[in-house]
Amino acid sequence: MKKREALIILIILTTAMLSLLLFHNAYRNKRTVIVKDADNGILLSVPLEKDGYYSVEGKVGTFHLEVKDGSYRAVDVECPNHDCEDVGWVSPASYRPIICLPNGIIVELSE
Amino acid sequence: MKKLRKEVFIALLCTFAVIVNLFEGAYLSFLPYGLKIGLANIFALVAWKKYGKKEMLLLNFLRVTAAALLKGSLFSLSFFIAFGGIVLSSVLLLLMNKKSGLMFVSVLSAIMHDIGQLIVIVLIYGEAGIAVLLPVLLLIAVPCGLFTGFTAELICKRIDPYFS
Repeated sequence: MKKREALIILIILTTAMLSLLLFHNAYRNKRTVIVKDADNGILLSVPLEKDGYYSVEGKVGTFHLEVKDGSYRAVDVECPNHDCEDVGWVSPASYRPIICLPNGIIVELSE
Repeated sequence: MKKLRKEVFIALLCTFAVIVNLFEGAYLSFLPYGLKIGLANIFALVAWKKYGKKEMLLLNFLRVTAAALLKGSLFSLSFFIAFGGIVLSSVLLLLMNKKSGLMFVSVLSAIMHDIGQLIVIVLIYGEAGIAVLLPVLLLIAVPCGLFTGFTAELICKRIDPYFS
């Protein structure tokens, strides 16, 4: 492989890593858990610092959100597949959205 | 005679590409997000290097169509996603100079393949957020592209005697 080609590949790799880091850090400062329905209407908005156990009514049944030690998870959800419970604990450092499709509920982090 | 030989060779490459594509989809999907290495691209690269751009185009489109047919349904969602990827990576191979190293071309074509698939997904689902996956795809495309390029180089070396 020529030098110029190796350089271009290296540049691509570093851009990818930098943008991954950027995406990773984008959620560091977000400290509010927001529960939305499918039409983007906010059902619940709670601070991440305060531990708690909340319940939201979804299309199929009740959805429970547990906040503890700066992370949160979906527990005891009344739905057919329980995919949202499999997502597990979510914190700003390891952010991923929790989505319960049968209930039409999305859990996200916000400012 | 020479033309017949070429046709047979392209058909052979196409068969290999389809089989490898199907085999990879069934048994080699150990990467996260259902990503694949892109082994079928090896044969497109060989055709591009040994014959030319026209043959590479033929091979790519035959491969995607045949693989979709063998998987069960033509014009399904996965066909359109694969098609988007193959169009962009073919366009890249059309633009590239034949003197560039195969490994380099392979990496670029793997990246273009990912971008093409993402574009189709964004168009179909109307959800631009999936583009967040792009850095991950790029990171995985580089080693996979290097691997397929290296394999294609090996194959080119082996089949050289048949071209003299």
